[in-house]
Amino acid sequence: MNKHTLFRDISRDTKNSYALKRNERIVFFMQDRSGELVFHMDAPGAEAYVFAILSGSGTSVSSLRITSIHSAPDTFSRAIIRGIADDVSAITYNGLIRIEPGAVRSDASQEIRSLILSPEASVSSQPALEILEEDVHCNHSATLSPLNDAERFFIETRGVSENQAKQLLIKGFINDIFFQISDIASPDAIKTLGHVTSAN
Amino acid sequence: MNDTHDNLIDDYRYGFSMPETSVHKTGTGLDASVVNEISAIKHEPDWMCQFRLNAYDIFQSKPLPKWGADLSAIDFDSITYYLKATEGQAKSWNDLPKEIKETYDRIGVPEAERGFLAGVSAQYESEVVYESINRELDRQGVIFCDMDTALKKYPEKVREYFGTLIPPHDNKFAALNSAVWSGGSFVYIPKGVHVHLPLQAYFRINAEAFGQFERTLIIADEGSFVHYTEGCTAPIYRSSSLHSAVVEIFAKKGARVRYTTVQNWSKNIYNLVTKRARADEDAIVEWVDCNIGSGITMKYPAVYLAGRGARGEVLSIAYAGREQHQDTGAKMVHLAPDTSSRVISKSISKDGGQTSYRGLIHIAKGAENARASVVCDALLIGQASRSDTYPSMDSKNASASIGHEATVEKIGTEKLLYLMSRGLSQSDAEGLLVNGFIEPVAKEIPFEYAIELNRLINLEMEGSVG
Amino acid sequence: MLTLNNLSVSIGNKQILHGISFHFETGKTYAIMGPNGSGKSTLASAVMGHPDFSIHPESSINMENDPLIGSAPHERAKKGLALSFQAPLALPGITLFDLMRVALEGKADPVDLHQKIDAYARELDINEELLKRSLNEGFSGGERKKFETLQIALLDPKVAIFDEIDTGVDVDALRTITAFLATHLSEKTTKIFITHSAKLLKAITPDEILVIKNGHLVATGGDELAHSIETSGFDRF
Repeated sequence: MNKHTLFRDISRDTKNSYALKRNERIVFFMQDRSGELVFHMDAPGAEAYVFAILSGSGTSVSSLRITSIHSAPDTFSRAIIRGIADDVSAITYNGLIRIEPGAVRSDASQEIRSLILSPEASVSSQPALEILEEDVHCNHSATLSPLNDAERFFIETRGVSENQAKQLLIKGFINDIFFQISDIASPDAIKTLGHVTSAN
Repeated sequence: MNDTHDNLIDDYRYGFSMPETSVHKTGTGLDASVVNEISAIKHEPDWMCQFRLNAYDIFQSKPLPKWGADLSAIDFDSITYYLKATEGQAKSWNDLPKEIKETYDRIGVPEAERGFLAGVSAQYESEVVYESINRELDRQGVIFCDMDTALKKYPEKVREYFGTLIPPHDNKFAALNSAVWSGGSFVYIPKGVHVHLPLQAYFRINAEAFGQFERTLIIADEGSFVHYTEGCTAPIYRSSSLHSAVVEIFAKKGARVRYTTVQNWSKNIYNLVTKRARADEDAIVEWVDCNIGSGITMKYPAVYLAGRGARGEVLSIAYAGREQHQDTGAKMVHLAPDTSSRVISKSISKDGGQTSYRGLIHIAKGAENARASVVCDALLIGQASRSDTYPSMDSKNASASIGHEATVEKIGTEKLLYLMSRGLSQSDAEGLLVNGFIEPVAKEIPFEYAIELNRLINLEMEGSVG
Repeated sequence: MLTLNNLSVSIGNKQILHGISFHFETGKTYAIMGPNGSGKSTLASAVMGHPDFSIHPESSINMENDPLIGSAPHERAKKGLALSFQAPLALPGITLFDLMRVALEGKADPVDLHQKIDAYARELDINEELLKRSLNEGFSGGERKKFETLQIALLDPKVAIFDEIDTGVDVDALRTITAFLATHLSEKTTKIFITHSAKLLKAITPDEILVIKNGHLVATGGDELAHSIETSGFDRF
């Protein structure tokens, strides 16, 4: 089935709960939004992509919780979260994928990657799964790490200084989200975000 | 079909009961006088009695945990907290009371194996009734005895470590164990000594409305190695049985300790265990944990990586069938630089069973270059089964890395069809796939257990037990 | 151009290279060969300044009499040393252009750079879609090697080391790569190819071949050496 893909930048939304309609496909994006959000897959064929970027700097404390609840068959959700904690900031991420009985053939996933850039920053991640239906596929992954040394060396061998290499990697970490969004939603959607990637 | 069915019921040899030959038994219910009584029966030093009483107060003051499995049906007043099967201990298999020998015959400790064992602490009604340390262990200076004996023979060593890793106030059930503990093993491995045969402990619960509270303490001195294994069975009863054990492990510099458990309690048992290890510099602690039985299990083996280069592992298998809830997981606390940890958890929920994984990875500020990885996979089989995953990870160190991955799914239809097209029945095919699923952990379990595990899984898959 | 003097390299407690001495001349082409695990890649990484490798105090690496030891990798690159990796890493969120723009800051105008990259990509038969993607992410082995080749050409180095440029690359792609290098690398560039394959030797026609075995430089020579390796492998060293 060819689903039309809608794109929603919910960075400044006040709404906390989003319910998708039957066979609807929506790509949600938020940058530096804290709080607790719930995405309801309660209509068959609903598909939600949720992209979130959390950046911590100075003494900021950010906390985001994303819950995806599947209660209808053939539903799909994929949450991709990137967090960067610098300076003395703290980032907390909580996630829940809950699949109710009857939500057969559901496919739900969450991927959280966090970068810790400074010795005083801290990150914590608690992605949870509650699966009450057998015929589903569900997974999540979470990583917390500093910048990758091997990647940094690779870049430096091209004549890029250590600092520049780090900046490049940090930008890339975030940019990766925009690349993924443009693969799923239309490239025009990215333009509405006002983010310029070199792809344009 | 009926034939097979009966054979399988027969095969569940563990579901039988021996008449009680208990010599000493406290009444049901718990209060300070029961605690005093237990300590008096054992002729314990005063400090231990005080320790117990203090722990009892803590137990009383703590509420049941608000998270985890449902413990509301435990009736603390109807449990007997102490039972001693014989006076003193036997020195060889021949000295064991007849009923107990029969029990072990039926569980299957063959004649040939008995001499082979490195040293056995057999737990019967919460008191160690048999222990034999063979000449090899004596020669190496290894101490392996029951906890009561250790308290008498090695009081300074016990006092130095007992309750220091898991203090009574740690949680309500650690407090309970600290108040009424009885039996369990004390193991001390001297510097540089490698114990090649696994040290084993068999024990069982065999009284109605009875609790088991064994306390195990393992100290592996620098550069030593030991593999401790426990596998246990219990008969089926109508009223609940409470098993609340505490295991503390100290792995000193360069030591390695592996602790393997295959648990197959019957479904009326509450299995609430606190297990924690401390690994010093370059030490390794591995928890291999299989939870197949009991109605409710709460168990989260932990390793505190306290010294540079220390390593911790938890490899676990959890199986939850009808009316079972396995709430298990792992806890890794990285306190020092260059520490590493790995958790592999494989769970299976079938026919309405529920498995929950609860994990914690904590990287403290000083844990430079710490590395942690967690993989939890869950299989769901049948209607109304449930799988939960509740991982938690946090880092206060900018050079550390944590990776966590979890997958939940059903048995692949294509794989099933493939195997069935080769002539396997559906349950045989499921059994094969499930055994393949748990293989990364199962291969770490000693051979005899692995076979038992395979058979148990296959029995469970056939759905004829429980 | 590039002189290795008594180069001994360890990783942790393990010594990989033992006292290798050799002088690579300006503009010449070299092949470094040897069995798997002999230390060829370690040599390339150590020369480039990989932090995991420790250089023994008696060793020296000089480029045009300028000591490299003590310089960071990017300083060595700025001096004119370039390395094409055996297993180029994926860089999520970073395109080829993103990387090259920073690498050639001050040396190339971004617009010119864009055009040059497009032209080189066409010449190397690279699917232009890949230019817009994260570098190396999901790329085949051959595509990654082509991207390495393209970058080396852009960097215009004095010494270019190619670590197994032929591995994972099909016959046509290899031909495209070697032709491209012949066209775009300066005559003055010292070219060092680490390889197993006799086929590549035929394509690059090295001035001299070095054989490294168990971390030792065991033989150097010309065509006769190449022929001997082709017929009887590395056993006789």
